[in-house]
Amino acid sequence: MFLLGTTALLIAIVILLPERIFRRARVAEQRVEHTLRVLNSCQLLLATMADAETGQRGYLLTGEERYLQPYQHALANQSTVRRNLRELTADSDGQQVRVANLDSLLDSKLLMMSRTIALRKAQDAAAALAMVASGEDKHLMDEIRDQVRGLQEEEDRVLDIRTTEVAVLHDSYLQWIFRLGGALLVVLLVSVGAVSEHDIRNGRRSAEALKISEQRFSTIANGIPQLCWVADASGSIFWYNQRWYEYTGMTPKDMEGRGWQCVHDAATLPGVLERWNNAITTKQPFEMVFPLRAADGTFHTFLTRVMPVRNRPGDVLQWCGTNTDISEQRQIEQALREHQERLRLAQQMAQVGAFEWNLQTGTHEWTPELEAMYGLAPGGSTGMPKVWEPLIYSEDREQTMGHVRDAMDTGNFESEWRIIWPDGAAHWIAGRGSVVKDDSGKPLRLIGVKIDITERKHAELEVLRLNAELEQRVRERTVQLESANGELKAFAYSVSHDLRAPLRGIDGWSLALLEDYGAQLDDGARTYLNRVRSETQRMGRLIDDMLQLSRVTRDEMTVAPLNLTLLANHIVASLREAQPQRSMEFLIHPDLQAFGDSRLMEIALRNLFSNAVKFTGKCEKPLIEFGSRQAGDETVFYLRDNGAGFDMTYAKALFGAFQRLHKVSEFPGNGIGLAIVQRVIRKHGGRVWAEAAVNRGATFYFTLGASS
Amino acid sequence: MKPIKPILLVEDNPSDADLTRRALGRGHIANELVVVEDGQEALDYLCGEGVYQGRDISILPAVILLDLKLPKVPGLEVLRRIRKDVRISRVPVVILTSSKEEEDIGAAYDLGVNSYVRKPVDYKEFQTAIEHLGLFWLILNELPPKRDMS
Repeated sequence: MFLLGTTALLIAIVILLPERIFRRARVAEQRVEHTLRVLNSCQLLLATMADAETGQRGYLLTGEERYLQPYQHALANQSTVRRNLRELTADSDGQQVRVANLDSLLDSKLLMMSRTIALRKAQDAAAALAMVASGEDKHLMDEIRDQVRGLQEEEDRVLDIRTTEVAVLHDSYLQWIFRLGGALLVVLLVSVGAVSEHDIRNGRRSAEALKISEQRFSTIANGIPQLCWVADASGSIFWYNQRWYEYTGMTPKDMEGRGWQCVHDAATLPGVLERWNNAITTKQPFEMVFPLRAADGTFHTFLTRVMPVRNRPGDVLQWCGTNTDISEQRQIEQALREHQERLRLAQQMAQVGAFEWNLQTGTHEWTPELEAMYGLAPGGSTGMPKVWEPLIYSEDREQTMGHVRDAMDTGNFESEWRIIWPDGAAHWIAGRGSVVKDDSGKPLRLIGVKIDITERKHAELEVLRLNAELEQRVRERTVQLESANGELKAFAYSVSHDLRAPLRGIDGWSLALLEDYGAQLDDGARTYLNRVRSETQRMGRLIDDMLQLSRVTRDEMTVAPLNLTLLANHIVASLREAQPQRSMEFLIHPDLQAFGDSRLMEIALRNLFSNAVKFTGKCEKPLIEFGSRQAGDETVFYLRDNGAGFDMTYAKALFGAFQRLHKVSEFPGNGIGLAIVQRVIRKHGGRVWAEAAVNRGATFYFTLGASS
Repeated sequence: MKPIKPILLVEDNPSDADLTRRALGRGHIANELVVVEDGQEALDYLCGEGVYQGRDISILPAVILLDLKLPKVPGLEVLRRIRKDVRISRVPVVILTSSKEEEDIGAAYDLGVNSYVRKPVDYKEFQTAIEHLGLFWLILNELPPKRDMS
């Protein structure tokens, strides 16, 4: 009973007295766990932001959506992580301030990232990369790390206090136990037993939580695309993630000790070892780029980040490292650099100047080539608002700015304007550009290129001037020609009228003499008078033929489809009528089609047919054939007779005016007929030639050039 | 019997005029031949003006033989004025010229010429042409009624 009473008392003491201590200890333990969760959240937040940054940079460099995945994933997770952190630090005003600072930094960083991504999506990689390169991005990230470090240090400090607190509570609890004395040992033992059981349960719970945490860690570590590893404080790596083994093709056994060195490039390994050893000595994190050999033997470039895991006093417990494959990024960066360099060289070579006009701020960014184009010193334009408009020659300004306004609607800018260089020289500039708009359609920037077209403009003006001069000359020449033609016409008219009148007189009065006084004249006198008349009439015909020749030359042509068969038949009919006593055979091929002036062609054909009729005058069976044959694309017409022909030696003289190959006594004529034929054919753009042999007939060929 | 109307020959070449007169004579055309040497004189004759002041203009020529190339007023202008003047517009006009220019022939017909004869060099042909002219215009052709000028 005593025992029972003592036990009950002891139990009461054990339960009641340490109960307070227990409660405090549990609270302290919970606080420790809470602190650990805060630290965990901090790490998670940093990892999330690193993921976001990796995704962002990959996308900026490649423009490929798949690189955005880590960014989008991180973006989705970050709010939960941040909320957690906020809730977990709600108990500390100091930490709340840091979290608030951190929140604003995170917002800035996320905004920055989303802006650069938006730019890249708008096809403006250069601007996006420029934003990243500006350093603000990195600066934000550094500040975020600083804030997180502040949070962690505070939590470390709290952790320290709380751990001490727990230890103190445990101590005071033990003091109580010892004070109760040996007599109460049994009861105490019972109590201790109960306490122990409590501890075991607690310990089991901690082990389980640790196990879950471990699993969570290894799931994350094995899931990320990076290689990662953990080393002890001395730098000996004891754990690699799955990705490491996949990439290197190595086994855990290969990696024992400093086995990792075998996947390094011998050339870069000494540098790596130096940095690594230095980090271990100085206990500072480090970042480095070096190649690692893949399972297939090729080397990829990796960005390696190594961070120390510290305990409260700042001692390094472990090292965590990640290796991110940046070889593709490197290649893309290199390609981008080369591309930009090529573009720059091309612009330089072509003397093309490029510009970017920020329509929101009004500032301009010009390439050195463009500045030179405007006669400005290098760098004189960059970042300056309203640098362009005043440089445009005043007379061209309104029109050019009108083109700018049009571009806000159409999206395309195109204009030409003059500028006056500082030395007073006028230059012509041609510009083309595109307007970059935001999602709501608001114009953001006008980007484009310009070239100096002064020389071309001068050449154009010169061409215009020459054309005007040429037109003037043509007009003058036309007037001259018209005047000459008029004179020729007047001359022909005069010849026709005045030259014939005396001939008519000579002929008329000769006839009058013959008629009125014929009886008083002897035969010789009458013969002479008849000679006078026949010569006069020949002169009359000569004048008529010459007039026809001149008319053929000066008359305008009307080209139309022409049936040469019909025309030839018509001519043949009139020739037969004129010489009904002659028996002649004509062979006119059917359907001879051509393009030509019907009046001129009738003159030409009539001359050719008359010739054929004349030169077959001494044939027994005259045969005259008119036909055509195809020679390539050309239709060649021919008129063949079986008459006197001629000696080809003199063929060249055939078509000259007043050229005759036969004696007048044999075949009368004045040598103008074929000259007329040649003029008609040439006027049609065609050719005429002949083939003949003495007494074996002649063939005249002609084409009608392009008009047929 | 109708009074024999004169033939008006407008010709500045005396040789041609005489040859025409001779051809008419050989063609037995007895009408009086009035020869004037330029276009203005022809109009004066027809309208009773200038040197023909006071001529009885009711006596119109049976036919006017008109050369184209004339001093002062050219032949086509003379024709145009004749056709515009209601007193004389119905007188038959025959162009008798050396010109074979198509423009001249076209213009003459446009102005209402009655006939167009080209003077050939061969006098025999010329004579035939003149005889045909005489036959047609002085014997066969029924002249239009004279306008009432009162």
